[in-house]
Amino acid sequence: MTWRRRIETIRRMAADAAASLLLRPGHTIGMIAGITLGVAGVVGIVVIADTQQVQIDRQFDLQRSDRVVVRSFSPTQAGFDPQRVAAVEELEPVVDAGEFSIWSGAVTVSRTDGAARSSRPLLVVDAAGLRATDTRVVAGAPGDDLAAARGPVAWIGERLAQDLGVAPGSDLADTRVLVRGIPFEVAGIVANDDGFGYASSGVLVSRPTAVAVLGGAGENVRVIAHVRPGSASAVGDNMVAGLDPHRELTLEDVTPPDGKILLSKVGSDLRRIGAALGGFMGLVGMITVANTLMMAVYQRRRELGLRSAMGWKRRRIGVLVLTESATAGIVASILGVGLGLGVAAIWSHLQHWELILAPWLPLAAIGAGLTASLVGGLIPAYLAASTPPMTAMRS
Amino acid sequence: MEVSEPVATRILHPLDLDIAAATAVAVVGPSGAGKTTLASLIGALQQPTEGSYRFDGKEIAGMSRAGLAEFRARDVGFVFQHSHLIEERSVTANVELGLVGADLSRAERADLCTTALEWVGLAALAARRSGFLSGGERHRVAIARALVKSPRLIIADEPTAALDQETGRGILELLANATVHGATVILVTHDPRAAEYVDAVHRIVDGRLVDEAHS
Repeated sequence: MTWRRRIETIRRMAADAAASLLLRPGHTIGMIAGITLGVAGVVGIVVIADTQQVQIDRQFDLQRSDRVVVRSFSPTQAGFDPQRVAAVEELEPVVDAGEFSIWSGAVTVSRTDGAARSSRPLLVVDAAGLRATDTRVVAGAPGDDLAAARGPVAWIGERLAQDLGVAPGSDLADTRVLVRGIPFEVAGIVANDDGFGYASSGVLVSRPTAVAVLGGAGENVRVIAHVRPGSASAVGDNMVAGLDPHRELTLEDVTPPDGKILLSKVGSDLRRIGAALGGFMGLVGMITVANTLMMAVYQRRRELGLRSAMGWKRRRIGVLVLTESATAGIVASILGVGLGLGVAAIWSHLQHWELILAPWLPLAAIGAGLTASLVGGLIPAYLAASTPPMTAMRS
Repeated sequence: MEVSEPVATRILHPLDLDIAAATAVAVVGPSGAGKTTLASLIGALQQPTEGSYRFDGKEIAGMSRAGLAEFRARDVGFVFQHSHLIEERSVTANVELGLVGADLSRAERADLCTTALEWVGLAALAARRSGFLSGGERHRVAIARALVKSPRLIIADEPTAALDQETGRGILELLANATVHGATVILVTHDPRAAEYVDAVHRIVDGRLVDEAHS
């Protein structure tokens, strides 16, 4: 058969299928409704999710996480190897990296006379940790002095200082506080208003001081790195391996979720919900196609028997029914894509958002609708192909 | 050949029947005698459970379903009692159904349909929807559909059953004239007038060929 003849055969088959569908408009509308809704559901939700994602991307570009937190789950007095921390600091996206551990979430702090007693967090930090968390020394000795602090010397947060009656501008010489009843010399006052606000109300000491004066190993031993936006995830992986190559400390990257990534996951979840909803509707559509076509096959037994008597082979009769389901599927999918895009466009317009449409989506949706329709048409096609030619003679 | 239903009810008893090419024969008999079953066997709509059926020397009994379909598509034209037109389709579209399997272009198909419709006198109604035709016109369309591929065998099952006298005669005449084109015509009918148009009449009673009369 030449290609012209093949095209003619396909044309006649398509014309036959279209005519059969048009002859039963009620059935046809019922048949395509399920697929249309399924495709519209997928397209609408995916386009809205994509559009929303772009808005999220735009709004969160400047708010991405720029801190990496690596925590040890094993108690350690020794803390982190300074050379390894320094190596981490050498990484290109890392601005600063240092220890910023919470030795204890609540220690008793008061003035030396026992007044203004309260529970405060006790932090073990180093100078790089202060820089990495943007913790500023607002009075007294600079953070670099932490490296030399061995005895009972502490920096206190500015809110704690206020509560204790220590004004930031006052002379800190001979200023002391009781931490767990142990007198500590106040070397400086610190403040943080960049996500580590508890530093402003706590007591900060060096690791040697904590080990020597307070004892224990601390509750929450961690290194914090200040990194360039967008690099937190990659730096976190490198830090875990770099700080603890032999897995002695059981380090874990506990970087707070990046807002953008978090919302990106929400977008992905939304797309998955759209796909699931569309899949479910597609299944309903598939069953509708199967049901409607089976009814149509039953009603057309005489016609199908006639075609069989005329010499149509079983395969050709089956293909005729599949062509009908495919035609219905394509029409339904195109309608569904239009409906889904329309709803998404209206939604985006109402939100004053620019509609984002992945170029592959309409084709993929039409392909999925066509597939669902064809699968739904399989059983009716088989039944139609099984119509004996004697049906024409007997009916 | 013979045929039985699955529960072993014998519908046709063994019978020998030779039909010459390009002749018209009538198969007559009372209702339930097995006329339609015989016609369906000759038209390869079903297979005999036993025996042999040869068409132009070629064994048809035992052919595969696909082989039977090819045989029907190539060599057999059917005219059913109730025409069996697809009422929503045009006259031409119905006639074109008879060209299944023919490797023809669109123009060739249109030409053949026009010729067949001219032969049955319905060329003017080619574009009309079949559901709007009268009973006689519908039968003519069915005859055109059977003739359009120039089959070697035409089987007409009760072609005049629902028609008035005059229309019935016209249909019988059309079918009998198909032999002019080289087709063998088998009329399954109760209509006694059929004998006037055929070369032989075969009577079946209770599944047996009881006599044979030549006109």
